[in-house]
Amino acid sequence: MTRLRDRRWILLLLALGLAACSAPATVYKQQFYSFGTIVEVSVWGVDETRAQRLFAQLQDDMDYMHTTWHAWHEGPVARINQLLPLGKEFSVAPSVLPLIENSLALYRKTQGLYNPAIGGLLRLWGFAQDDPPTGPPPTAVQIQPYLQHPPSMADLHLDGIRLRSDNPLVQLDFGAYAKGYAVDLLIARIREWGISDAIVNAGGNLRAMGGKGGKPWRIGIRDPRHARDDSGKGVLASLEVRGDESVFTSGNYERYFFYEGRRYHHIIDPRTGYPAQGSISATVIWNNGGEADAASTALFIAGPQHWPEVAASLGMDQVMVVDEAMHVYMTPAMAARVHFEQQPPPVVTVTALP
Amino acid sequence: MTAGDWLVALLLSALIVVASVLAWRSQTGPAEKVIITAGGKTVSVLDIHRDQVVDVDGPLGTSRVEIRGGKVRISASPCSNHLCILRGWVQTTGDSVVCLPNRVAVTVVGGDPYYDAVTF
Repeated sequence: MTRLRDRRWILLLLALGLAACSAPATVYKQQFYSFGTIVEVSVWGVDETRAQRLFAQLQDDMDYMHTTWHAWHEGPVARINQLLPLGKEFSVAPSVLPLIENSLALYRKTQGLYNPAIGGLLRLWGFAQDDPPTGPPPTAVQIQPYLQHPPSMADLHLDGIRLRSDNPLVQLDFGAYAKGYAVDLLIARIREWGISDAIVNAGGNLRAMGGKGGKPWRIGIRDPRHARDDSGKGVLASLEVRGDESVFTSGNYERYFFYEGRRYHHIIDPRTGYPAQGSISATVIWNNGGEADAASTALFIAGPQHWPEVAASLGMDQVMVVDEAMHVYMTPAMAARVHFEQQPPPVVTVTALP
Repeated sequence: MTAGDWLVALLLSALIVVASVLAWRSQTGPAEKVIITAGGKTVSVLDIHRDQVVDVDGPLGTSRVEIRGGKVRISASPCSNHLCILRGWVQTTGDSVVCLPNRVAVTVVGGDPYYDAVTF
């Protein structure tokens, strides 16, 4: 009897050995093209066949969202943009409603700096087209109407699914929100599969949950100076993700064009009608990806002087803004988490939120 | 337990320890390979320590991938903005060069990457 019980230990050891074989202690990664960028999904502790099926579904989901929310390709948002200037009430596709509703709230919380109503202005600059713009930049005369009658989310009246705009210049472009929201929905889909360790990285904007076998995911924040133009050592800082968090960065190096020796980037300040000055990147850590996406844009536009007000208004206490001289501004909570990977580390100012 | 039981238990324990160590080690190596994908499909897996030049076809034409001295870059591309070429050489595990217009991506792999993902 004693011997039988003792043998159970051997069985247990054997079972442990087998368990180690069945749950793969490895990260499966897949890249695919969607939303005009490269989307990389990493999962841990999932067998390869299942991971492949998951990746295929995520790509389908992402492609569907891309088509549905695209600002200028034929689809529900493009149709809204055709109807808005008429000034009459119309029904919007239910799939677009969460974008409008969430954007209304974010517009207010960012004091209007996240403003998806300036789609017309983005088109004027050439940032609402498939081909990269080549200039020339719009003239002051062309920009003038957008400053005189600034299109804003406050011009929209949403009643159920019925939408109307008071301002014929309002054109919706969810470019600073949709990708983050899509990342949220992919993470939700991964959870539906019973998977709790994953990263979804859509063109440098990511949400990560869980870890890899008890080890946290390690995230690099690319050096804005070397984001597009240097060797592999271009990581400014690193951090470890805890639980379920989004890390989103807006940078002036993502899309831009040169015209007559001057560089014009894609983050347009709705207050001036011109590319926002002062920052080269803004990074935020927050649970919700869509909100982190819009916030990183708003914090970039707010710039090295005024970002703390916007961060406080959003209730986000993990923010980092880099200015044109590579001076880094951070909240205390962000400073406690990032580890600079460069020698010498950059000059840092830690600012408590008002 | 008999001496044989102990022996089996000991051997099994040793096996688990050795397997764990091997599994751990295999995840923490330096950059070893370069994975080239076109349109999201892997077209080539190459040794990063063997200098070579590979042409990869995408929707716009042919992108040229160059591996030299343990580093890799896209050295020629049919895209219009050439951001992939401007990205220059990469050598760190997990890092990549991407040509979005031509849908060609080059990723450095090899054991456990220092970064699981990069924000930019």
